[in-house]
Amino acid sequence: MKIDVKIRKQNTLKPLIVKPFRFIISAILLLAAAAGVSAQGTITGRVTGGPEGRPLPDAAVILDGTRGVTTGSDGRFIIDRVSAGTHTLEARILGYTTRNVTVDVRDGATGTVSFRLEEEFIDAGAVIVTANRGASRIADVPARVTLISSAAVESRPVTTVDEMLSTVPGLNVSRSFGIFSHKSSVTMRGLSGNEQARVLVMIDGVPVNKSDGGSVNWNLIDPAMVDRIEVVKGPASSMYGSNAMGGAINVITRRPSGELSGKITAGYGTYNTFTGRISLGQNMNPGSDRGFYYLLNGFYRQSDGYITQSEFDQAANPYVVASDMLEYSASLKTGYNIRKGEFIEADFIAYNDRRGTGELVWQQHGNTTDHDTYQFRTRYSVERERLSADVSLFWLQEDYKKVNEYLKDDYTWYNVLSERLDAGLLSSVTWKAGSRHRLSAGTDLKAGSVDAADVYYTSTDIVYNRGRMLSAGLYIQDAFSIIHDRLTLTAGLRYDLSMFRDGAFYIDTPSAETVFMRNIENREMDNVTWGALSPRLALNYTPSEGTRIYLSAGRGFRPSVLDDLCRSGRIKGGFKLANADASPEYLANIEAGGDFTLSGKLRASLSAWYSRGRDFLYYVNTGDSIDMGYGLRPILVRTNIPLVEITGAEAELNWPVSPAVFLGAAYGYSYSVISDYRPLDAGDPIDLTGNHLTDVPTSTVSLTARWNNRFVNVGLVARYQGVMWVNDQNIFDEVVGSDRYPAYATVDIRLSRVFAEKVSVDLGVQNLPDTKFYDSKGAVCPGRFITLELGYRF
Amino acid sequence: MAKRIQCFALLIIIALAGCVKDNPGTTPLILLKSGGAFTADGSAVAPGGALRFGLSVSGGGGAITNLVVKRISDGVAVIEADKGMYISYGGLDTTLIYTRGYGQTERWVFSVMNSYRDTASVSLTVLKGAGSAWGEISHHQSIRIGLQENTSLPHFVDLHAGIAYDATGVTGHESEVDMAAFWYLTSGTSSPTLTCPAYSSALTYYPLFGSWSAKNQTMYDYYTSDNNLVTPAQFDLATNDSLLVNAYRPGSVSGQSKFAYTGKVVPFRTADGKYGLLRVIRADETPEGEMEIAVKIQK
Repeated sequence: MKIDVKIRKQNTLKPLIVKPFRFIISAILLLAAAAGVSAQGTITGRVTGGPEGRPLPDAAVILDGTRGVTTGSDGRFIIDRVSAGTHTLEARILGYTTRNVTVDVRDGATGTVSFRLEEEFIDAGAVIVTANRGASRIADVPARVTLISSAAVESRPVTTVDEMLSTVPGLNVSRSFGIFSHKSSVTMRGLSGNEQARVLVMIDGVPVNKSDGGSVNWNLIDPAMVDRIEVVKGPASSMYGSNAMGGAINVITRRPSGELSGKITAGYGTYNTFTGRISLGQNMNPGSDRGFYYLLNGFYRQSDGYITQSEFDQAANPYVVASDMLEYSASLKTGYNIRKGEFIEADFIAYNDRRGTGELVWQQHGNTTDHDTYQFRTRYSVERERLSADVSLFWLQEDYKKVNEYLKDDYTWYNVLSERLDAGLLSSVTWKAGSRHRLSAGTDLKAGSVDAADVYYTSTDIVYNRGRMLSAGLYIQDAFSIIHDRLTLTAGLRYDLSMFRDGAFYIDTPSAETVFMRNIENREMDNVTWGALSPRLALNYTPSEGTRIYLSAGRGFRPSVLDDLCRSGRIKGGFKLANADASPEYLANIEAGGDFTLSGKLRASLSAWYSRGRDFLYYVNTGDSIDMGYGLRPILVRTNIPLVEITGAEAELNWPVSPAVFLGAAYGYSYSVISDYRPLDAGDPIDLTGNHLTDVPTSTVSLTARWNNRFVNVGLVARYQGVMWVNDQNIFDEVVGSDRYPAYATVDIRLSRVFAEKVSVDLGVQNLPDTKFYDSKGAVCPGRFITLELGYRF
Repeated sequence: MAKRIQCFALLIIIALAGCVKDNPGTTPLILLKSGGAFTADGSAVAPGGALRFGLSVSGGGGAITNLVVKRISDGVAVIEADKGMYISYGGLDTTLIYTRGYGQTERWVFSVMNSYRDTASVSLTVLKGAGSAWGEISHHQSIRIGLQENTSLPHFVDLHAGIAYDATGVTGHESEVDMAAFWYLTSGTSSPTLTCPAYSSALTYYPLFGSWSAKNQTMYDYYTSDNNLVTPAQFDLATNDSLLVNAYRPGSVSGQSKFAYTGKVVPFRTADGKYGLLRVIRADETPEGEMEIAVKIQK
């Protein structure tokens, strides 16, 4: 443990007393007395932390446990009118070890104290906002919750936000190509890794799963914007409704609180990758409970990329090129602190990217994907002693463009143009009723739409699909303290109404390219309305500090996404029919878990669960086939299959060996199987009963290590991902060359150092052993990826 | 500090203004060539007679991306060609050769589209001439070829001559090869498949194509896969190229590969414009198997 205690000489100083070992801080500042001045002094100082030793804004600095201030954006604080004598000064902030210093203040003197806080793994006392849509201690949440603190965010060798989640047990991060992936997904608890729609993802409490496909543009979130990430595993539909069937992830962005400051970062890496980043933030009235604040961020990254295709494919296709990428974003967060615990805030994010998919025939950039994304959010939040409320209004628009060109029979070029819009109003209220009840309630109104077209340029066709999904939800929950601070019963219920409207799928001026779809056109799909109840009942027992046990049962639900309701088209393995008649799917979950202190600071977390998915949405063979010009292919439809069962367990060990050294290990196991399958067509010989869900690793293991020292701060992550089934039938796949994706292991490392508290140097190496792994199309990952970043803080 | 803020604001504005708007194009232009070498508007041609159309196309500011040839015979429209392309400079200058059908009047419509989806069309009418001009055909009663992993039979077929070459014997005859066959399993569906050297995916099964300088493109009719539009009996009765020409329905997807089970009759058109019918006498459904075909093709 390292504590910096600096004393600026004013008058006479007494010797400083520091106990560097045993991780207990004490220091004594002796401030000279000035004759004739009242018996009061002043303490100023700065709080820094993390591997960079960056200033920590919003850290609480508390004098004698009774009087405190918070640090500004530069980490500085000042406490005046301190009575002469010996005092205890404490600095604390979430994600860092708390420090205590003993200070001897003399009359009329000013002393300086610098706190250097070390990262701390998140303990059960940390506060999160996602599980109950209001502030709750992790120890009080009867569910498996993981909090990735800002300190952990800083130390991780990642280039995207979703990669930060790859070491969380039970989570399945699918990002085959690192920064070159044009889409990625994060699922959990044994649900298929390519189905983002079953896990709710939020930025600052606002959902970012699109109604069209349930997908999330993880590239939208610049890691530098992230303050912390909260993960609630298992059904969270009783709070959030659909999409939260498998769990919820909330990415919480930074909020400025101090004086004007910023940081500029420039980086260079493998495949000629350039990164630039700038941020600027200010609280216009630091130290006050009132005033404006703003935070500006700009981000830019481009890379020449690499060839993802195999050597054989390169030989067979003369149009193979490197999959390059370009992305940039800008964001502004601004708000006004009305009074302590009450603020109004607005933020806007603009993001654009273009990622090549590895083939170029005639178009300027070849086959590419492009996401123009704009997110706007306003929020009002108030927190009083017994009552707190939160209201958010959001608007998320994604203009998606995919350029497809290839030269086979002849030249084919068409663009997929899709406007995806989601907007909504979210509200929640929490009321602490008496000493035993904590009541929560709220309503959510959301509207999503897609308006898409496949526009052909080498033929006359335009294939349209569109639809709207409107939803309204009402929830209520009571956390009843049966035994004060020991045993809590939480009961919650939510009702959701989802309405599919204005669905259409049709073709204008069809040619031979799309003629096979003529008989499935539907310009006026039936409007459909579904209702669903999502209950939850949970017990949380805390027999002693550092130990708790929970038992939870709940049910989540999810209606089909718009893409399944109103778009027909080619998919992997066949042709997909739109189906507006599919019922919502339900996932009932029972779970038990606990947190235990094994020895000293070594803590273990264990969870086990069993889930039953009813009316599970799945691609099912209709028994028909279609020739899209290259042979008969099965016609599939997204419909309900009777039963899927998932069994799983997670174990996590966290050991803060010292404030400078942290070790962690996590293991996740899941067994996901189709227990009952009913073919749509009696003549369909395929029976999926007993088959495993695709894209679910049976086992995942991660090892995490952080070591901060005066030379270089080291972050190390080793991951193992077990085998995953490739296709629904669990049969041999010609491209992969097996029925299962092979297991793989990889190691990421990050080395960083800060010079003169201004200049930072970061070296990140992802996939250190250069492990090659492949996706379902036989494309290979980038392998070892090295980045070097230089930063300047001002 | 004010300068820093200004610079930062400027960067944000630049980032947000980074969108590029496509320039609108102008309408493409398509002209029919005249002269003795080409069929003229209002001319009379006997059924089976050759029609030659000369086209001169400019993209009008955008690349030429699509050419559609439509035959309207006594009011019934058939798409004879629907071809994707990307010609950004110099325009398109081409001659198209077709065969006069049975209709009393045939109206031919030629349409082009550019990269802004602007279109232009031109048309002419060909009257029915007296008599018949259907041409002679060659009939190859049995050609046996091996699928990709068959090591005993040849693989590469000259449909005009009815000759199959093996990997050694094909040297010097690459430009005469119109067809090969392979078998594959996709999504559980067994697919014995006809292909041609120009089909890029055929390289997977016949890497030898990669070294050929001349790779012929043979187009197979789509509809024969799902509908037996031409029966084996009709195939046997064909004595001139009438059925060969009329069976080929290019209005549907026609490609350089087509799966063909035993008993199918597949219309095709070779790279040099010859129409033909290919009857699959036998198609094994293993990569080591063989395919036996009968072929009738325009002389």
